[in-house]
Amino acid sequence: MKNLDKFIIGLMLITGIWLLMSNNNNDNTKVSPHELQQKLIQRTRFYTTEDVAKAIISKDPSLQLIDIRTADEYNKFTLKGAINIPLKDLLKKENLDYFDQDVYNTVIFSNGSSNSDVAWMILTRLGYKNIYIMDGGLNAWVDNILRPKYNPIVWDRKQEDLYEFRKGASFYFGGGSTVSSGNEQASKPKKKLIKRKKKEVTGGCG
Amino acid sequence: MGPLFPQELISDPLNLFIAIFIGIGFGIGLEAGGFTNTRKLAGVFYGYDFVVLKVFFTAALTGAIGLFLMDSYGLIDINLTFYPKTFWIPTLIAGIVMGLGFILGGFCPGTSICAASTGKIDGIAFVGGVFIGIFGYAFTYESLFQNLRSKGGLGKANIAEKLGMSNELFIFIVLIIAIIAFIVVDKIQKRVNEKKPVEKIEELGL
Amino acid sequence: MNPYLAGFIIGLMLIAAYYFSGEGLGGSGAFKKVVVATINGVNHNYALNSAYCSPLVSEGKSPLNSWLIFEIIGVIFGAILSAAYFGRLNFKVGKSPKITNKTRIIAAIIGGILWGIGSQLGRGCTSGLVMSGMAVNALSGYIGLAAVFGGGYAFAYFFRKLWI
Repeated sequence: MKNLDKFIIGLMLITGIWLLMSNNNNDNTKVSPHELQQKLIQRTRFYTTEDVAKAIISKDPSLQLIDIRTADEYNKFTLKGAINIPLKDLLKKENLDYFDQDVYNTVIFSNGSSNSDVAWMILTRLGYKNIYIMDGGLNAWVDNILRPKYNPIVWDRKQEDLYEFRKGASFYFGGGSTVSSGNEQASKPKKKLIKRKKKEVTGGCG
Repeated sequence: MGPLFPQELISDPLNLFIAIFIGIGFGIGLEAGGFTNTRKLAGVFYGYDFVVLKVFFTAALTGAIGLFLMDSYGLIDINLTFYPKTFWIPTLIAGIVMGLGFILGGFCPGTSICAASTGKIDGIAFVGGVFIGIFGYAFTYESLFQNLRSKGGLGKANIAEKLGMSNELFIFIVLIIAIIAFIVVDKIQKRVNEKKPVEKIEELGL
Repeated sequence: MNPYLAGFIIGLMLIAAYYFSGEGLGGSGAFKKVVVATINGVNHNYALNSAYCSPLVSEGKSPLNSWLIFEIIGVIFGAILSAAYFGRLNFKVGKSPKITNKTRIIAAIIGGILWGIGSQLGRGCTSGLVMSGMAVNALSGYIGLAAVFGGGYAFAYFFRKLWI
């Protein structure tokens, strides 16, 4: 065998061994348990109710709200512009398309935080980016935004500002003492789905 | 990242422009490998010249190692590329037909294009034959081939998965078999040419 | 050129084809597109109604405006470049000295016809079916490999006069 033969065959052998070694590296589109734990500890996955309220009021185009409660609950009350994807249907292909994109910041909410956290974990495990949850869910929304409590004795200035904002937001969302106005908001049309572009490759000789 | 075009990361004209350059590289590889010489090609079936086997397996394995290495580091998603669907019955029958065509014609379609464009008259005849064959196929498709063509469909079948091993291990095994074959065929070639010397191909003026 | 180096170059092109375009290297696919474009040019209605042609012509785009056609244009350039470099750009018939040119040409045409039919039935030739398939561990590539080379070896004995 000539030297060049040996060189090329050797190169293939070395890269072949490298490939064999890279085996465990394979599942790179998904998030490892270690990374998942890191992300779970951080608070960055949360949108506070105020963040969500601000985004809705300012009509933030990058916001995509996903209501993961059942369709019944969704029809009774939801946030303005929210899309209903019940948790049990989360992994359906047509629903995953809402999350598998990098255009919107997706904020998930349910009544509390725990169901949203489950959905968040599944979606993060699938490697989707920009997935957030609304801290405290709709319960917190009602408490903070729709019926903000005023308790001036123990509050400092910052909390005063927060209260002012909540009160303003409460007017915007038609809160006060009732939450009935949610009905009309629920009937808003679904946001147009923007899919990550993937062409079906129709190549080949056949 | 990759593949770039199916994710619309490069434009259609650029994609076609790149195709020309990839084709040039492919053409140079085929011509320089000696694939325009039919006697060199046919040699693999009679043991006097194994250049086809060497070029072919080196190319396929370089491609496989490179692609799966890139896949494991997230540089390309093989699932988004043109992944051939398997229909084992027509592929097996057609493969045997093509094997007969190989022995008679001495080319395959890709190499015949190289041979024809570099002035090999048998290559031009072969290209003509391929056109006749495809025209014949096109006009008899519905009556003769349409049913047969979709028999034995297995979808986008992966051989490593079917054998129950990882892609990396399968490629490595093929690589080892290929390297052993490279060494063995050199010995066979030597013995065949000693026993019954075939005129040196270079002396035939090709 | 060294066969391993030539194979290595083809392998790199295969990687590039998959990386940039998500396509494998092909040969027979370009033939198919030329045939369909010809049928379409002669009789558009026939092409639209034919189960074979219609997938390529129904969108109103020319079948020739495709990746494989451009790749094959490149192949032609590449082959001519390489042949010119190695001094192999000449009109010749490649054959065994024991047969006449006429025999060789007839065998080449019959071989071509078989490839034409086989590549359409089997969804590709040595490049598109076998080599590109093997590069992504597709089962069809390995079935094709076994069938093409198995078939070749099975028939080799009967046609040895053409080559040795």
